[in-house]
Amino acid sequence: MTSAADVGVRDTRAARDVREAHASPDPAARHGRRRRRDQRRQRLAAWAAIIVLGLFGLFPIYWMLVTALTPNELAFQFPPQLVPSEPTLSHFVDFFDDPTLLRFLFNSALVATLTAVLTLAVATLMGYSFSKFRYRGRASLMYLVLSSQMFPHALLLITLFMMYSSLGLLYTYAGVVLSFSAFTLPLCVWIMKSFFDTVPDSLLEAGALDGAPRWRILISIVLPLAKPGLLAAGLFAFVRGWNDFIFALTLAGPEKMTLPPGLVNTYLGEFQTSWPALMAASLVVSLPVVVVFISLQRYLVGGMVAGSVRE
Amino acid sequence: MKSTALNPSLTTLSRRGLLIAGASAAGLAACGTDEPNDQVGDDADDEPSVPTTPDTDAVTETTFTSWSMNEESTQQPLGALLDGWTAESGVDVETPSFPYNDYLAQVLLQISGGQAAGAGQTDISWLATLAATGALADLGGSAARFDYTAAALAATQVDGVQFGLPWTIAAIGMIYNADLLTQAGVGAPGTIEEFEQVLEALKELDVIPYAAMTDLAQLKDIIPWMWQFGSAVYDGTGLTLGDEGSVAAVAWYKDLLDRGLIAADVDRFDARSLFADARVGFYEDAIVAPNIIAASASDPAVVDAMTPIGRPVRDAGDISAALAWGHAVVVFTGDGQQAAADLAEHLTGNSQVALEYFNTAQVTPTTETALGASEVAANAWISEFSNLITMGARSNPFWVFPEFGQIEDRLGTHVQRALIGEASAQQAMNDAKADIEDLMN
Amino acid sequence: MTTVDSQARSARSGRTSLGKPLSGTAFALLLAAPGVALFLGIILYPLLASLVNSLYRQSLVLPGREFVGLENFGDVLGGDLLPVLRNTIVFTAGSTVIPFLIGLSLALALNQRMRGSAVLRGALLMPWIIPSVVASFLWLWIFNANYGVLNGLLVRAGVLDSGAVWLGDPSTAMLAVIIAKSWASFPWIMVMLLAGLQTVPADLMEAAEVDGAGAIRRFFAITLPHLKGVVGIVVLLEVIWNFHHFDIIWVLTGGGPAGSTTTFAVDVYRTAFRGFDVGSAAAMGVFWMIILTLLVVVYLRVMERGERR
Repeated sequence: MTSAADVGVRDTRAARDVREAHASPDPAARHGRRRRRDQRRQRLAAWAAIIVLGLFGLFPIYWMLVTALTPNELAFQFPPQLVPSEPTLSHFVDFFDDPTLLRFLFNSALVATLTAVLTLAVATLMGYSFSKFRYRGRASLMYLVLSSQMFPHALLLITLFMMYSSLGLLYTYAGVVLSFSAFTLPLCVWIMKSFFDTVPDSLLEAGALDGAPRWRILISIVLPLAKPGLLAAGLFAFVRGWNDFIFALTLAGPEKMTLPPGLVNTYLGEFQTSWPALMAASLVVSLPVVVVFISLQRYLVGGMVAGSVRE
Repeated sequence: MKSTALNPSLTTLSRRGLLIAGASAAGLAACGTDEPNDQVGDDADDEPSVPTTPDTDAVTETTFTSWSMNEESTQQPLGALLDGWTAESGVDVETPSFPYNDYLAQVLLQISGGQAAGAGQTDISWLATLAATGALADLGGSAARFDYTAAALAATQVDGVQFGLPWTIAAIGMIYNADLLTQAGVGAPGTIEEFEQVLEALKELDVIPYAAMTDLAQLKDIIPWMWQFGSAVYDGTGLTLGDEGSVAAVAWYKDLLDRGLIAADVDRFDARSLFADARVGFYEDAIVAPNIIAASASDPAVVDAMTPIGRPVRDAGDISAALAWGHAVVVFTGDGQQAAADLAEHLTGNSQVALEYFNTAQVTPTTETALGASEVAANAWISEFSNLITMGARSNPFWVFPEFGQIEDRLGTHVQRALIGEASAQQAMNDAKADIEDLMN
Repeated sequence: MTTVDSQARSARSGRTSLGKPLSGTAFALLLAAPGVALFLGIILYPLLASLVNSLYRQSLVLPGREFVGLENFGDVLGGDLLPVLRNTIVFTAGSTVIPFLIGLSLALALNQRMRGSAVLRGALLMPWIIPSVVASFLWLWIFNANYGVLNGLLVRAGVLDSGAVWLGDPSTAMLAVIIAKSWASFPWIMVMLLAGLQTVPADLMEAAEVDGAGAIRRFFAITLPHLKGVVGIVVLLEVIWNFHHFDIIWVLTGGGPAGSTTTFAVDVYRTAFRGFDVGSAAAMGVFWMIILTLLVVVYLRVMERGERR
């Protein structure tokens, strides 16, 4: 039996395969070994990526935690300590002791939830319209939806403020929620539309043949299949309502202020930025959303299947 | 978009400040009052005797917009003052607040939308802009009833009209860490030449000798240096950027940066934090500096070592320049204007209230009575600061323009260009002049 | 039956696939109505008002305004439109490509069934969930030249002698800003791609493995085509959002040093809320709209052509 070396073949992967093939005549075992080796390599690459990129993603979070546990006087040492030498929970305690901050938390939760609900309702209807119907003006409407993203939002804010002022929507939850929904709509409409695209028309036709009215078809047949899509779109809308700063600052007003402007208001003063306290507060307000997401994950991941499935 | 001009100089403050400092130093407690804080209705002299419009009786609520209601150091004290007023007058006070950095834009939006009402806090740098909207009430009548210092009144007028009642008026000036200077074996400098020598000595200690503002947002701090080098920057009719003084100041800044005597990308928050950590020799701050430093100092000795000093001068005998700084209370025209004016008077003109605020939040008052009170007059820091710094305080010449923020941004951008070597100091200042003139017409 | 077929059918018959003539359209329009109303009210009306503003000289401070026609546009064109445009493109490109690569790598890595992947997926969401204004301050804190942890680590590791001025040096400021933005964006891209990866049929992958296709070959031949749709929308939206992005740049550098990080968003904000010049800002907004629309139209055309192939 000639070996690879005899033939002058360089020890490439192909050569190794050839050697293996000759070494062991059983094809199943051959495949098994190669697959295990490949899988190991893949695992290694995966772990390498996770460690390096995960570090990039999570170190700043860790740093937030370290800063949140550092007493004010030690916060500006250089080089900073990676592990706090005198950790304190005072900043976290202060957060929960502050009724203003808790009100911001409540406002944020309310606004974000309402944004999610409203956006879902509107996006579902619109997505369904774009997905399952064909009519003149459909393409134009789709471009209209996308066009809302084409103009700087800071400028829209000025006019929106005046408009709300004259309509009595200023400093109301409704006004804020409406504006957030409008800006999240394009993405949510796309998610719902893509998801509806994957629901076979045959199901709808079957329903129609059974004599079900259109509303019924949507609610009883299509929507139950769309739960993951609803969750995905809902999450995006929720996060938008949770994260926005400039619109919340301007339109919500001092009473109904949400967390982002509220945190800035509280910790970024005229004279000083209370870094440790700000970091503690930020961690506290981010954690619940993360926990909710982790627990709802399995629905979510299935929900964004749409758009890439070809039947 | 030119608008009315603020009084460009506060030199009258120097005389008054000197007088008061001198008077107290000589032990004359002529105006000192030691009234207990919880006496209600005691100061008949300080409160308005008769409401001037009839709608006061009908009003049960007014608004006080501020940022101080959300800052840790002033939230409780100010809340207490407002509660005190509510108890006295029977009028409730709503206290909406916005973060300091967004305050002006938010209030302007409110005014445009017709939402602004009641009284409000303002930084004196924003007063001209707010006045230009036409939404502020003339508080001349209120001002006449109290003994505000002349300089304070001047700082809160726009084109001669009293649009704000002065709440606290002082300056931003240079402060140094006496311990570090002792360690370096040098004394306090008087001229710019001496200053550079002191900085070189401090450099040996491995600290930032002078934490000058090099961050874009605060590069406007170079204006007092331009004044010091002889440039007027803006003399009421035109920009003088590009003249010898402004170019010299910028070139000097760059020189300091190259020699490692100042650090890059330092903003005021950084400077304070680093100073509190004893890593800075000289920095610039407002009169309230000791409280801010105390809040984040790892070693309380730093606060004791804080010493104010007049800006080093070019030639002996020059006056040290400083940037005026302060807060005022304005009143928006419209419903409830009188009640709002009453509140404004209560907060700023009532010496007893002002002293309470001084004791609880360390905000320096603006009435002669309050300034003469023992707790203020005996405060060494305030006396020294007033003496050395507030004496030469001048308003930032760009405050007369509504778009002063953008003007300062452009000035800062060109100074940055010079600092990083993208342009010579002369070129940068010429460009700045052209760029800003563009904005002004 | 795919929607393409039904589309063809309705086009021929003038009916929807549900068989009812014309009232199907009415129903569809009814469905779309709430969304359209929301747009017209919240977006379109302010947008048109802003467009009109661009023809006036108007200040946020002074009441009243005067008609100046195209003067604002002339000013914008004569100003530093080109450097701002360049900065915007650099920022947008960097802040789209980098988080995309990060998100893709992590999605591929986390797609493998491994212990703890669910928790990791959730934990890695944090950068996105933290309000962007807080993320801005966090990175300001990290990048600080005099007491930031980045310099702290580099100095301690001996890589640098003294802290680098990340945000104050024009050669590093843009990079710093892009890194901060990428950190805040990669999680949502990762999540979208993860979902897309779920649709790649496992049996197809296995068959390819058995046939001897390597991991890389499998990725390009099978995975990527299935991801096309998700990738398309993710990149499009991320480009648009980066074009808009303001918070991080404003907090970290304010558009400096020396204008090296001033993008359209920063310029517009500064003109409107520091200069209070509503008219000029609106004119900038018009340019913005034109450029962005062109970009998007080109992008969509390319995508469509790709799909048809």
